[in-house]
Parts: sequence; structure tokens; C-alpha cells
Amino acid sequence: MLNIHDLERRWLRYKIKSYIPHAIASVLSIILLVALTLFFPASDNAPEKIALVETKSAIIEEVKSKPDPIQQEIIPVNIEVPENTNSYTSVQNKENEEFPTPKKETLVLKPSLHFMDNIEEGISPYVEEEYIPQNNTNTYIPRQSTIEPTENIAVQIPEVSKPKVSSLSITRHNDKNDLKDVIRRFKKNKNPALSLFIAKRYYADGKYQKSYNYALMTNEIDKHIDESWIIFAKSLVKLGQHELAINTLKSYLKSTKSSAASVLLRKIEGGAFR
Amino acid sequence: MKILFLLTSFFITISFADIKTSLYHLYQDKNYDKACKEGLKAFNTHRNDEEFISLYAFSCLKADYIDRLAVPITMLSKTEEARSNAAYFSVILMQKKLLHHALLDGYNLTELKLPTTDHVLSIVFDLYSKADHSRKRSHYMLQDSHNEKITYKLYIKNSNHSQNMVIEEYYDTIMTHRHNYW
Repeated sequence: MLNIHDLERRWLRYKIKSYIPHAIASVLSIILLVALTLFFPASDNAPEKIALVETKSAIIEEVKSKPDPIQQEIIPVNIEVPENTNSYTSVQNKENEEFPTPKKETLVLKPSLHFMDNIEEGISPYVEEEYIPQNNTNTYIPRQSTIEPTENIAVQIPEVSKPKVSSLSITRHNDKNDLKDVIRRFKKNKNPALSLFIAKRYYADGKYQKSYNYALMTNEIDKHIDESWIIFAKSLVKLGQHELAINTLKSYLKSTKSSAASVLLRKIEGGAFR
Repeated sequence: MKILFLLTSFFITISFADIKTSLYHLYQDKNYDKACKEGLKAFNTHRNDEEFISLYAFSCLKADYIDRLAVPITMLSKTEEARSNAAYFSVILMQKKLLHHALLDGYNLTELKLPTTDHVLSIVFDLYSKADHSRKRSHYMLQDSHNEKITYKLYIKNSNHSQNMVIEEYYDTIMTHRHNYW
């Protein structure tokens, strides 16, 4: 009879003994590889790769910890670790230099009103429109006094009514006396509408120093009159004070959103108005 | 016949110029409401004039007719200035719609990052998106970030058929302006 149990035990021992050399060889090769990687870092790129991976993971973790979703998107894309990095600390130092914190400023859109310049070019300036210098005195006499037959009619009228007819003649002056009258009225009641009128008249006459003075007075009385600021700035430009005119308009535009003032400012700055 | 044609074209040109000029004068006189309404009447005949469309759009913007900006936004595209203004109007229109949606339906605006403008709607939009929304309120009092004396009151006004959004501007507790948007 064959002893099967004894044979099986012996076969198992034989099998185990046959695998032992293979197992020892594989374990030794693993130990050798690990030893090589640990003791010769300069000859191999593996440690550098580990350092870079660590750096990137550290940065990404730092980015993830921040609540801003935009930063999460932007920062990892911009990360470029230099190739010649040798240590983790040097990467950390360069990180601070190369990756400044992104600005949180939002984009501000502003309206563009340059098209107003083109529209305004098609319209003649209001100062020229309003005032046409007239040097001659125009006398307006009622029809009754100019038409000769009225005298015949007057004959039929009782004598008492005659002086009344002659008193109806109205004389209208459009010359300097008229302006003087406005100036006198302005001095009396300090009405800004009158001073603005005077400033416009002087500006139209080319008397820029005087128009400047009256526009200034108007601004002092009421600083919310657009036209007055425009005449003021225009007079300054005509007097050669470009910078002052620009600064005045800029400060005026801070308080209001006058499109006329902004158009004039652009014209002065662009040299279109001299 | 030729003379008749020339005269007709001359009068058409004159009438076109007149509408634009009158609109310009209305705008300069700060009569924005009338400028917007007049512009709307003459809009179809001036579809190709970007200066006219811009002027009309700015008039409507100042008159608080924000929804009327929708058409100019799509039509301002030929020049750089027109495109810039179209972008400006579209931001304001979008912010108005988002604010309205948020106030009525509780839509969350805190995570939105949009461009901003100098318009009151943009200012209020930015302030509202930063405000505390933990509890529902009938109105929001929002303080200006640059001037602490300026505050904005934002609320929904219920009328018969619509729910209008109202922004009231206050300076030192005195109301200086009320904007009604629907």
C-alpha cells in the first residue's frame, strides 16, 4: 500500500523549496531599487518630481481653502513651477513672488457721449443764435405817427387828445445803452438771469474778460446754471486759460452730469474749441 | 419731376435733422421723459441712425424707461462707441431684471459677479447682492459705500396689475429722487 499522506507532504515541501529562490530574488530586487532611489537623488529626477507634486498640492490646497470661486478657477491655471527648482522651500519662496493675490476689482462700464459732439456740430451755437450785434439805434414809431393822413384825422379830434397821441411813440434801443440798463437792473436786484444775459452779450461781442466776470458772478449767485458755466469756461479759453477752463469744467462735472459741459470739455481737450 | 424729387428729399432731410435736433435740445434741457417719448415716435424712421438711437436710449435711461433700452441694445453695433454704449445699457437692463427677480422670487444674487456702472440701478444691485438675506424684508435700506450720508431704499410696490420696483435715494434722511421701474 502506498502511503498517500506521506507522499503529499513530501511533494509540498519540494514545491515550497522550489519557490524560495524566486521569492528571495524578487525581494532583493525591490530592496535594491528602493535603496537606489534613496541614496542617489541627483542622478534621478524622481525626488524633484515628488517635491513639485508636493508644492502643487500645497498651493491647490491653499487655493481651495479660499472662498472666492474666481480664485479657484484662475490660480491653478497660472501655476508654472520652474524646471530648475531643487527644493520645496525655494518653490515656496518663489510662489510668493510669482503669484500675487488676484485683484477683486470689478469691471466698471461707462457711457460714451462722443456722438453728442457730432449732433452739436449740426446745430449753430446758441450764443450766436440769440444775439446779433446791432450798432445802429432802431426807432420804432407807431403807425399813427408815421402815416401822414393821421394828422388830418387828428385835426378832427379835440385838442385835448393830441398830447396823448404824441406820448405813444416808443423808442427801442438795442445798443450799449440797452446793456447798461440791464447792468443797472442787475446791480439792483442781483438776478442771475440778467448777469447771464450780460455775460452772453459780452461774449458775443468778443469782450471775453467782461463775459468771464459776469459768468463768475452768475455762478456765485446760482451755481446750478449750466449755460453760465459754459460761458465761463469758453471765456477762459478765449483768454488763453485752457488749463483753468478744463479744471473748472471737470470740477463742475463732478457735481452734475451736464452733457453740454462734458461735450465742451472734450472739445477743449481735443483742441476743437480754441 | 426732378425738382419735385429734389424738394421731397430736401424736406425729408430737414425733417430728420429737426427731430434729432429737437431731441438733443430736450435732452440738454433735462426733459428726458419727453425726449424718450418723442424718440419712440420717430424711432422707425431713424433705425439706421446710431446717433439718434444713442440719444433716444440715453433719454429713456434718464427717464427710467429701462425696458425701452432693449431695442437700442440690439441695434447699436456699427461703431466702437455704439457697441460700448450697448454693453453699458445691457448691464443696466440685466441688473434691473435680476433685482426684480430677486425681490419677487427670492433669487440669490450673492454669487453673481457682474460688471458695474455709475447708474443707480448698478449701485443698488451691488449693495443688495452684499446685503443680509437671512430674513425676508418688506424693504431694504442700503447705505452708499462712498458717502455714508447717501442711502437707498429698495422695495416692491404693488399696484393693481403690476409689481413695480422702487428705488428711493436719500441724502441725510431727505428723499432726493424716486425711481419707479416696472
